[in-house]
Amino acid sequence: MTRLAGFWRYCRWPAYACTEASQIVELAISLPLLMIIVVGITDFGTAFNLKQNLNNAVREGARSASKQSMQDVTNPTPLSTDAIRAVIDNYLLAARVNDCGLSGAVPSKSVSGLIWTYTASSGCPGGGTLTLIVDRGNTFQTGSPPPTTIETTHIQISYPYQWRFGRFIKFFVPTANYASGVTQINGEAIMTNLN
Amino acid sequence: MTLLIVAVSMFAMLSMAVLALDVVSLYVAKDQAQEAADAAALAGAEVLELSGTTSVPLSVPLSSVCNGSSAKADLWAQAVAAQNHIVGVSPTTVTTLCPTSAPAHNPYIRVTVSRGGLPTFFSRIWSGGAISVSATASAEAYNPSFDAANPGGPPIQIHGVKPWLVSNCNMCGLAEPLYFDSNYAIARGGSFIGQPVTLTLITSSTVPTVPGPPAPPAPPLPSPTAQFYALDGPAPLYCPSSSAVSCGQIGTGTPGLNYHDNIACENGFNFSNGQLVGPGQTWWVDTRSAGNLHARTIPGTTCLIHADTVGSGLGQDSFTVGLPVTITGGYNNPNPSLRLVDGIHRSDSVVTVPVFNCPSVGTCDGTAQLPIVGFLQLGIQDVTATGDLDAVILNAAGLDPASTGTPITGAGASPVPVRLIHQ
Repeated sequence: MTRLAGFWRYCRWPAYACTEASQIVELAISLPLLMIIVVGITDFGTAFNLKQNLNNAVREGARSASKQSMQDVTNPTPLSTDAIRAVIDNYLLAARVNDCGLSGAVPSKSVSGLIWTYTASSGCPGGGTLTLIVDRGNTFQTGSPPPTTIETTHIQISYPYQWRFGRFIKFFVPTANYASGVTQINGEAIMTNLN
Repeated sequence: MTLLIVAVSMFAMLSMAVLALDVVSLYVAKDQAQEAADAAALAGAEVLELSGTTSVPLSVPLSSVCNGSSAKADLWAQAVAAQNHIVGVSPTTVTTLCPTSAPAHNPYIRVTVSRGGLPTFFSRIWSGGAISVSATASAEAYNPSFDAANPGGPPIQIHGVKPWLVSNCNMCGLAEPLYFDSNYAIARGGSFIGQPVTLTLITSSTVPTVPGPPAPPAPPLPSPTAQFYALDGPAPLYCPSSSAVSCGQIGTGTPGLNYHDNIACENGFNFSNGQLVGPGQTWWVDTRSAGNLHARTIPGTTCLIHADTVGSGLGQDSFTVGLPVTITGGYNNPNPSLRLVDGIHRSDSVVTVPVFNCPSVGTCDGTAQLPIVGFLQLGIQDVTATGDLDAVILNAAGLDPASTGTPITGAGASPVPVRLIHQ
């Protein structure tokens, strides 16, 4: 303690400005900031990448749906809808996205309409749930005259994204509550039923 | 000094990070714009298919279905594009174009969508104007009918064809066969497109053995009647629920007797140019259901078209006669949103059936191999108590067996395939 006080007295005079170990101090200040930035970039980049993969997956699903048969949609679990699910699931797996067990999910059909909902939560990030909705009877009208009612397939996916930034920032600011937990990232696509 | 350097570099790094966010979000927007353009182009091309312009371009000129603003193909493309959101909202502009330089049997539509005013974080510092993305897609409808404008075009490949083999009546003593001439072009100037037709089953009692061809009485033009053979073939893939309207007998018949299942269900077998039907082929004239074909036609068809029973106006979708054909949803349509709605865009009652030629006199009794020379796209109105089919002809597509190259595949069941192309 006596030596430290002496060092301080020695260094506080400009003529004897002390630079020893200043890099350590600078590193101590800048490294956390740099790490925050790097982790932030990685975390948001991963989230964007997931968003892109979900968009692509539902687009592939919608393209497949546009060619699928409509002749089995009176079934509770039609083969045609399952084929659409398989296309989306295969895309996710090929993109190295955890499919949360979507491949084995059994759909539930809406009471009215042609909407099938798949939910999967096996090993999902953050203990969340993947939800895939395949609406084979989504309709809307064109402009007139005369208006035509177009029947399309509307596919929506909702995927849980587990933020890492929130856990990291707590090292430095224990009370921080930013970008923590799970956020559902969504994707959707609509394409005309061609068959 | 050091802190100043750190502050400056930190600002630079943060700027790069936020710029990266901007760029990535623009890439996401670009992807969504392409998705919207693809969907819109396919919807527009479906109008080119369903309107009949590829079959009878003189009666239905391309400009009447696609004029770049307010024709049916334009409206469909605009409507579908508007449903596909780009960063949360509909595209701000959708432009459509159907080049008239394209062959009449092979038109295409080009759709460009754009979305302006995209949200950005950092790039607004140096860009005062709004950031926008745009994407273009083209989709074609291809009718393989051979004609002077289409010498030796590529073949097509489709599935989901219904087991009704319609006679072209090429040896009925007519001035022209019913549907396709000897060059696989559409006969009679396509005057039968948009017109009603009644298809009657050829049975052992109606098949003439001498001089040969199944010979309906020489019909006036366009023919309101035609004949068909019932086909047997592989088991179908996609079947309706047996609890659906009039579908109680689907999938419950004797194994191997697939005729009526193939009416109600979708078969996965791919038909292409040069396909033969008969002994040794995947499909043959049904002899196993002999004596029972009428009875099997009725449940298969009522299930297919969602009719309560035989006759018209009993729950099934209906078709207007004359071009352009429009569809009205029946009260049994599987999609509740389409029930009793005028002007719906698709129907389970729209089917594709093969058309055959008699190879020679005396070889059309169903025991010889019969060449398929084309397809008809039909809108089934009803099935009668005697097993006849009332329909409206929507399209015709001739198949040249000599066509070579990679077959064009579209959505599956249409004889005028629709697909995205690079243009």
